[in-house]
Amino acid sequence: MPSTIKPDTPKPAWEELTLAGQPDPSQLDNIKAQLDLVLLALEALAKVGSEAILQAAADLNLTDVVADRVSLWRLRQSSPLRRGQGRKRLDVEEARALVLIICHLAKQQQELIRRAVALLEQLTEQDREPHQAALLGDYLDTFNNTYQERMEDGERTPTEQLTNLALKLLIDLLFYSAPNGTRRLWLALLDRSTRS
Amino acid sequence: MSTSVLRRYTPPTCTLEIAATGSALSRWTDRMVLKNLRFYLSFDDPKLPSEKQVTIKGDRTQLEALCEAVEAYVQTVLNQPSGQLSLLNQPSNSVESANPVNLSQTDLHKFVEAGIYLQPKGLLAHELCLGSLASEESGATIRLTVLQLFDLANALDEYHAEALILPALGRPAWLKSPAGWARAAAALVLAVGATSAVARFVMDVSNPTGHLAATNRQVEITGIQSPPEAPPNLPAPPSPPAISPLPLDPNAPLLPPKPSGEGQPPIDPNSPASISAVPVDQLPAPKSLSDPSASIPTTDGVTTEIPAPTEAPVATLPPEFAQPDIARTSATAIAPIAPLSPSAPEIGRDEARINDPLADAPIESPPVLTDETPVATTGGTVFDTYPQVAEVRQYFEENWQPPDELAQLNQALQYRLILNADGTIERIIPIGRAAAQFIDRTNMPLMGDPFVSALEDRDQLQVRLVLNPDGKVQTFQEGN
Repeated sequence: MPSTIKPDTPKPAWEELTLAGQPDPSQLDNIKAQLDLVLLALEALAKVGSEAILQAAADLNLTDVVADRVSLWRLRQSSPLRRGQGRKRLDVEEARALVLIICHLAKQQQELIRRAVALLEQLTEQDREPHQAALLGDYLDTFNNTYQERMEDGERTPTEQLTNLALKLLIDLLFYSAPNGTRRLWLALLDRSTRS
Repeated sequence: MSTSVLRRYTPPTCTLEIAATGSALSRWTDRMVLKNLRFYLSFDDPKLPSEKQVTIKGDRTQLEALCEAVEAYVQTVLNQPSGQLSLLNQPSNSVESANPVNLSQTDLHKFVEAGIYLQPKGLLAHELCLGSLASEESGATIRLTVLQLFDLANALDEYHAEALILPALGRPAWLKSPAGWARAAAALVLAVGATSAVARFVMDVSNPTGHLAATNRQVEITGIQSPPEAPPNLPAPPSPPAISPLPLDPNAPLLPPKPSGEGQPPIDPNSPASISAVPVDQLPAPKSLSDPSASIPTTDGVTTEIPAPTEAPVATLPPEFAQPDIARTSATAIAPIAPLSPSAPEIGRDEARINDPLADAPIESPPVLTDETPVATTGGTVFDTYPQVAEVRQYFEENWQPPDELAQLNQALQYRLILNADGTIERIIPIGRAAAQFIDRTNMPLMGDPFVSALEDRDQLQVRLVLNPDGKVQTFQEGN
């Protein structure tokens, strides 16, 4: 009856988790860029540095993927938005490792993220600028500065756009700090990377 | 038996209470069997006087519809690239456009019967349309802040992770119990197309497995290969898509600041909700809108509660799962309403997920009309309405080799497969953590690859696939 059944093919474990095989390069580029931005937001808000990221990698047994500062830097540098040449390819495994690390860190910083979102809600309700709260002001400044410093188009991007990007990322981070945050982030990455 | 509150989830801004009546059927099973599940959800907005605090209540079907609506919506919001959010704040967008009209029709009908959905009201506010949950007190909609949405999503997620609707009693003992026989009768009654009223009666009398069961969290972690946050938690990406531009390209329009200049509160309805512009049909979420079988209070909703009288997953439950979790209940009941209270229960919940092979199983979709005894050779059972259901089974009977690790877990893998009219796989939805983790071992055909024969009279067919650690394969049609 099932004449059209696909022949049985052995599959390697890890990359076949994607079912569809390796995402194409543009998808991965897209994922890299998003992951880098989410990390940037975390850094800007919680002053999470590479030390904390490496510690998270160690906590999660991901040192194979993120062993040291150099490998971390190269991972981050793989974002197509970044300045500089000689980017390394980010593979699916690395993307997943970064997802786990980001959500681990977001969970650790949940209180701070929550406070920031609460402030944002409060200020918006009062029709006040987010900058008027120190926490948000610092976050936005740091995010904008870092973005402009590190990203290829950083200096050309209007501050207003960066502010909105930062606020969107802040709200996203709140949801990534939830227990099912990894799933949410992963799905969002995939969804966005496949959207034209 | 009296109704008792089973679980209370208390994130900072809402309280979700689950209550149910213990069933006399409990004595037939080694676990608590519950019926008449009710839920009470109150939003604790400190800015509102207590008499204006909203409480909504409903039954299990409605709760599941709510779970699904919130989960899908949150993912939609997250999927939204920030560039597109600029639309959010264009005041020119009318409020009407905030209606979930952008949900594709196929997605929309999934929960339209419960009428529960959310729509964005700007970056920082969301409107929960209560549908069948609406009451005079609550009104038709409730506005939620981001934090409220976050807390609600977490509470529902936690409930979802804990609640077990047993897809089957599973133990061979069911055959010996009157309930078991009656359940078989119920399946037969349904098979011949009895009215839902009859089916409901039979099921209520006989079927303990469609009810919520409390589970024991005090199970040691054994045979678990992955850490709580292991990659298997992440679902697989969809099939290779068209090349897409970077949504986060900074050159793309990033959103302008929240339109505070007009003195609008964050929940201003004039903040046009362009989040709804996200095609929700792209949601890859396993529990997403696209699951037609899930939690829809349909007239044949009864059938969705008929369990698969299989030995599948539950048969593998260790006896430790049998006891209701008193400790856990009390722990959640007294969970503090401190801002960070989610973290503590969450840790416990993660553990619970690891410990509990069924914790991730969606409670909303016990399989419909299953084949009680999968016919391994011909692949045909009386319940195979569509030959493709048997073809799927036959394929996996040929290709499913249970990995050793799975045998150690002693757990079945369940997938929801959505087949296209041409017989290819449209979507693969792993049900539960293990299913996602082991998906690469299942020899699952890739999405879009030829798989089974073409459907003759329908566009899609949804099949539940159960791969047992002993190599047995079961399939059954889901939905209509």
